[in-house]
Amino acid sequence: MEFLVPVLLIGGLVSLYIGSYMLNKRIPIPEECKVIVDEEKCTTCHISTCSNKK
Amino acid sequence: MSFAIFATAIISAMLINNVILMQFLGICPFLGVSKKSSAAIGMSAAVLFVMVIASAVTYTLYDLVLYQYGIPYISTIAFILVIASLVQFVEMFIKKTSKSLYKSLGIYLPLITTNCAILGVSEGNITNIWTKTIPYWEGLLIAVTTALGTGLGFGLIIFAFSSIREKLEASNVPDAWKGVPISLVVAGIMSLAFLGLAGII
Repeated sequence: MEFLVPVLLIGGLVSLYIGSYMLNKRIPIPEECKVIVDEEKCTTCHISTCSNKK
Repeated sequence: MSFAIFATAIISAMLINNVILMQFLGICPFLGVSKKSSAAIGMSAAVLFVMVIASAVTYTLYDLVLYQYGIPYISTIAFILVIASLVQFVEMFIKKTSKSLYKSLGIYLPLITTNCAILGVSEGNITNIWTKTIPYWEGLLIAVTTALGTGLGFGLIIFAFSSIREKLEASNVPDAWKGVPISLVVAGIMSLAFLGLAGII
Protein backbone atom coordinates (compact mmCIF):
# COMPACT_ATOMS: atom_id res chain seq x y z
CA MET A 1 0.00 0.00 0.00
CA GLU A 2 3.04 2.25 0.19
CA PHE A 3 2.71 3.15 -3.47
CA LEU A 4 -0.57 4.90 -2.67
CA VAL A 5 1.13 7.68 -0.71
CA PRO A 6 2.84 9.40 -3.71
CA VAL A 7 -0.23 8.80 -5.88
CA LEU A 8 -2.52 10.41 -3.32
CA LEU A 9 -0.11 13.27 -2.73
CA ILE A 10 0.27 14.08 -6.43
CA GLY A 11 -3.48 13.67 -6.92
CA GLY A 12 -4.13 16.04 -4.03
CA LEU A 13 -1.70 18.62 -5.37
CA VAL A 14 -3.20 18.41 -8.88
CA SER A 15 -6.68 18.89 -7.39
CA LEU A 16 -5.37 21.81 -5.37
CA TYR A 17 -3.98 23.41 -8.51
CA ILE A 18 -7.17 22.88 -10.52
CA GLY A 19 -9.26 24.25 -7.67
CA SER A 20 -7.06 27.31 -7.19
CA TYR A 21 -6.95 27.95 -10.97
CA MET A 22 -10.75 27.81 -11.26
CA LEU A 23 -11.25 30.01 -8.23
CA ASN A 24 -8.74 32.53 -9.59
CA LYS A 25 -10.45 32.59 -13.00
CA ARG A 26 -13.79 33.35 -11.37
CA ILE A 27 -12.44 36.50 -9.76
CA PRO A 28 -12.46 39.30 -12.35
CA ILE A 29 -9.44 41.52 -12.99
CA PRO A 30 -10.05 45.02 -11.54
CA GLU A 31 -11.22 47.41 -14.29
CA GLU A 32 -8.39 49.89 -13.86
CA CYS A 33 -5.78 47.12 -14.27
CA LYS A 34 -7.07 45.73 -17.58
CA VAL A 35 -5.15 48.23 -19.72
CA ILE A 36 -1.87 47.42 -17.95
CA VAL A 37 -2.45 43.68 -18.33
CA ASP A 38 -2.72 44.13 -22.09
CA GLU A 39 0.35 46.39 -22.29
CA GLU A 40 2.81 44.32 -20.26
CA LYS A 41 2.92 41.10 -22.25
CA CYS A 42 6.07 39.03 -22.48
CA THR A 43 7.83 39.67 -25.77
CA THR A 44 10.67 37.15 -25.67
CA CYS A 45 9.47 34.79 -28.36
CA HIS A 46 6.82 34.48 -31.06
CA ILE A 47 5.19 31.27 -29.91
CA SER A 48 1.50 31.93 -30.47
CA THR A 49 0.32 29.14 -28.17
CA CYS A 50 2.09 30.50 -25.08
CA SER A 51 -0.43 31.24 -22.33
CA ASN A 52 1.41 34.45 -21.48
CA LYS A 53 0.43 35.94 -24.85
CA LYS A 54 -3.30 35.32 -24.48
CA MET B 1 23.04 30.37 14.45
CA SER B 2 24.78 33.66 13.96
CA PHE B 3 24.02 36.71 11.88
CA ALA B 4 27.07 35.88 9.76
CA ILE B 5 25.34 32.76 8.38
CA PHE B 6 22.39 34.80 7.13
CA ALA B 7 24.57 37.62 5.80
CA THR B 8 26.71 35.07 3.94
CA ALA B 9 23.63 33.34 2.54
CA ILE B 10 22.17 36.63 1.26
CA ILE B 11 25.39 37.97 -0.28
CA SER B 12 26.27 34.61 -1.79
CA ALA B 13 22.82 34.12 -3.33
CA MET B 14 22.56 37.74 -4.48
CA LEU B 15 25.98 38.41 -5.99
CA ILE B 16 28.23 35.37 -6.18
CA ASN B 17 25.80 32.65 -7.26
CA ASN B 18 23.48 35.07 -9.01
CA VAL B 19 20.46 33.20 -10.29
CA ILE B 20 20.50 34.80 -13.75
CA LEU B 21 24.15 35.43 -14.55
CA MET B 22 25.75 32.43 -12.82
CA GLN B 23 23.05 29.76 -12.74
CA PHE B 24 21.29 30.83 -15.97
CA LEU B 25 17.82 30.43 -14.47
CA GLY B 26 14.96 32.86 -15.10
CA ILE B 27 16.33 33.91 -18.48
CA CYS B 28 12.78 34.21 -19.93
CA PRO B 29 11.68 37.19 -17.78
CA PHE B 30 15.25 38.53 -17.92
CA LEU B 31 14.91 39.01 -21.68
CA GLY B 32 11.13 39.30 -22.00
CA VAL B 33 10.21 41.76 -19.26
CA SER B 34 13.25 44.02 -19.27
CA LYS B 35 12.40 46.54 -21.96
CA LYS B 36 11.16 49.07 -19.41
CA SER B 37 12.50 49.70 -15.91
CA SER B 38 8.98 49.93 -14.47
CA ALA B 39 8.11 46.48 -15.78
CA ALA B 40 11.42 45.11 -14.48
CA ILE B 41 10.74 46.46 -11.00
CA GLY B 42 7.23 44.95 -10.96
CA MET B 43 8.49 41.62 -12.18
CA SER B 44 11.34 41.44 -9.70
CA ALA B 45 9.06 42.38 -6.80
CA ALA B 46 6.62 39.63 -7.80
CA VAL B 47 9.47 37.10 -8.16
CA LEU B 48 10.90 38.05 -4.76
CA PHE B 49 7.48 37.73 -3.15
CA VAL B 50 6.66 34.32 -4.65
CA MET B 51 10.22 32.98 -4.29
CA VAL B 52 10.31 33.57 -0.53
CA ILE B 53 6.85 32.04 0.06
CA ALA B 54 7.53 29.11 -2.30
CA SER B 55 10.85 28.35 -0.58
CA ALA B 56 9.20 28.21 2.83
CA VAL B 57 6.34 26.02 1.58
CA THR B 58 8.47 23.61 -0.45
CA TYR B 59 11.10 23.23 2.29
CA THR B 60 8.32 22.44 4.78
CA LEU B 61 6.68 20.00 2.37
CA TYR B 62 9.98 18.19 1.81
CA ASP B 63 10.99 18.05 5.46
CA LEU B 64 7.62 17.17 6.98
CA VAL B 65 5.98 15.09 4.24
CA LEU B 66 8.21 13.85 1.42
CA TYR B 67 11.15 12.81 3.58
CA GLN B 68 8.99 11.44 6.40
CA TYR B 69 7.04 9.18 4.01
CA GLY B 70 10.14 8.13 2.07
CA ILE B 71 9.05 9.71 -1.22
CA PRO B 72 11.63 12.43 -1.93
CA TYR B 73 11.82 11.25 -5.57
CA ILE B 74 8.57 13.09 -6.36
CA SER B 75 9.92 16.39 -5.04
CA THR B 76 10.24 18.05 -8.46
CA ILE B 77 6.67 17.38 -9.60
CA ALA B 78 5.33 18.18 -6.13
CA PHE B 79 7.22 21.49 -6.08
CA ILE B 80 5.94 22.43 -9.55
CA LEU B 81 2.36 21.85 -8.45
CA VAL B 82 2.87 23.67 -5.15
CA ILE B 83 4.40 26.70 -6.89
CA ALA B 84 1.65 26.80 -9.55
CA SER B 85 -1.08 26.59 -6.90
CA LEU B 86 0.68 29.15 -4.72
CA VAL B 87 0.84 31.64 -7.58
CA GLN B 88 -2.90 31.21 -8.20
CA PHE B 89 -3.69 31.78 -4.53
CA VAL B 90 -1.41 34.80 -4.28
CA GLU B 91 -2.93 36.33 -7.43
CA MET B 92 -6.45 35.68 -6.15
CA PHE B 93 -5.63 37.19 -2.77
CA ILE B 94 -4.07 40.31 -4.32
CA LYS B 95 -6.99 40.74 -6.76
CA LYS B 96 -9.44 40.65 -3.88
CA THR B 97 -7.60 42.73 -1.33
CA SER B 98 -5.47 45.37 -3.02
CA LYS B 99 -6.01 46.85 -6.47
CA SER B 100 -2.91 49.01 -6.19
CA LEU B 101 -0.76 45.97 -5.36
CA TYR B 102 -2.35 44.07 -8.23
CA LYS B 103 -1.45 46.95 -10.53
CA SER B 104 2.21 46.70 -9.60
CA LEU B 105 2.62 42.94 -8.99
CA GLY B 106 -0.43 41.04 -10.15
CA ILE B 107 0.06 41.22 -13.88
CA TYR B 108 3.45 39.50 -13.59
CA LEU B 109 2.23 36.66 -11.39
CA PRO B 110 1.01 34.36 -14.23
CA LEU B 111 4.47 34.68 -15.82
CA ILE B 112 6.07 33.46 -12.60
CA THR B 113 4.29 30.09 -12.77
CA THR B 114 6.65 29.15 -15.57
CA ASN B 115 9.72 30.81 -14.06
CA CYS B 116 12.36 28.14 -13.52
CA ALA B 117 14.23 30.35 -11.04
CA ILE B 118 11.53 29.70 -8.44
CA LEU B 119 11.75 25.93 -8.92
CA GLY B 120 15.55 26.14 -9.07
CA VAL B 121 15.74 27.90 -5.71
CA SER B 122 13.31 25.42 -4.13
CA GLU B 123 15.32 22.46 -5.43
CA GLY B 124 18.58 24.17 -4.47
CA ASN B 125 17.35 24.59 -0.89
CA ILE B 126 16.86 20.84 -0.64
CA THR B 127 20.15 19.97 -2.35
CA ASN B 128 22.35 22.50 -0.57
CA ILE B 129 20.71 23.22 2.79
CA TRP B 130 18.50 20.33 3.85
CA THR B 131 20.17 17.45 5.70
CA LYS B 132 18.81 14.72 7.94
CA THR B 133 20.39 16.31 10.98
CA ILE B 134 19.65 20.02 10.55
CA PRO B 135 16.77 21.20 12.78
CA TYR B 136 13.63 22.14 10.81
CA TRP B 137 13.47 25.79 11.90
CA GLU B 138 17.16 26.37 11.27
CA GLY B 139 16.97 24.92 7.77
CA LEU B 140 13.78 26.83 7.04
CA LEU B 141 15.33 30.14 8.08
CA ILE B 142 18.42 29.57 5.94
CA ALA B 143 16.24 28.49 2.98
CA VAL B 144 14.07 31.62 3.26
CA THR B 145 17.17 33.82 3.64
CA THR B 146 18.71 32.25 0.54
CA ALA B 147 15.45 32.81 -1.37
CA LEU B 148 15.44 36.44 -0.22
CA GLY B 149 19.02 36.92 -1.45
CA THR B 150 18.25 35.17 -4.74
CA GLY B 151 15.17 37.32 -5.30
CA LEU B 152 17.14 40.48 -4.55
CA GLY B 153 19.88 39.33 -6.93
CA PHE B 154 17.27 38.68 -9.62
CA GLY B 155 15.84 42.18 -9.08
CA LEU B 156 19.26 43.82 -9.14
CA ILE B 157 20.23 42.21 -12.44
CA ILE B 158 16.92 42.63 -14.24
CA PHE B 159 16.73 46.31 -13.19
CA ALA B 160 20.33 47.00 -14.29
CA PHE B 161 19.69 45.18 -17.56
CA SER B 162 16.45 47.07 -18.24
CA SER B 163 18.21 50.38 -17.59
CA ILE B 164 20.92 49.43 -20.10
CA ARG B 165 18.27 48.38 -22.66
CA GLU B 166 16.49 51.71 -22.26
CA LYS B 167 19.78 53.46 -23.02
CA LEU B 168 20.36 51.15 -25.99
CA GLU B 169 16.98 52.11 -27.47
CA ALA B 170 18.29 55.64 -27.95
CA SER B 171 21.76 54.53 -29.08
CA ASN B 172 23.06 54.14 -32.59
CA VAL B 173 23.09 50.34 -32.83
CA PRO B 174 23.61 48.64 -36.24
CA ASP B 175 20.34 47.27 -37.64
CA ALA B 176 21.44 43.63 -37.43
CA TRP B 177 22.27 44.04 -33.73
CA LYS B 178 19.10 45.84 -32.66
CA GLY B 179 16.84 44.18 -30.11
CA VAL B 180 17.69 40.75 -28.75
CA PRO B 181 21.23 40.37 -30.28
CA ILE B 182 22.69 43.43 -28.56
CA SER B 183 20.79 42.49 -25.38
CA LEU B 184 22.44 39.07 -25.35
CA VAL B 185 25.87 40.67 -25.81
CA VAL B 186 25.15 42.98 -22.86
CA ALA B 187 24.00 39.99 -20.78
CA GLY B 188 27.23 38.17 -21.62
CA ILE B 189 29.35 41.14 -20.55
CA MET B 190 27.35 41.44 -17.32
CA SER B 191 27.90 37.75 -16.65
CA LEU B 192 31.65 38.16 -17.17
CA ALA B 193 31.66 41.12 -14.79
CA PHE B 194 29.91 39.07 -12.09
CA LEU B 195 32.48 36.29 -12.51
CA GLY B 196 34.89 38.71 -10.86
CA LEU B 197 32.95 38.37 -7.61
CA ALA B 198 33.50 34.61 -7.43
CA GLY B 199 35.58 33.61 -4.44
CA ILE B 200 35.08 36.70 -2.25
CA ILE B 201 33.35 34.54 0.40
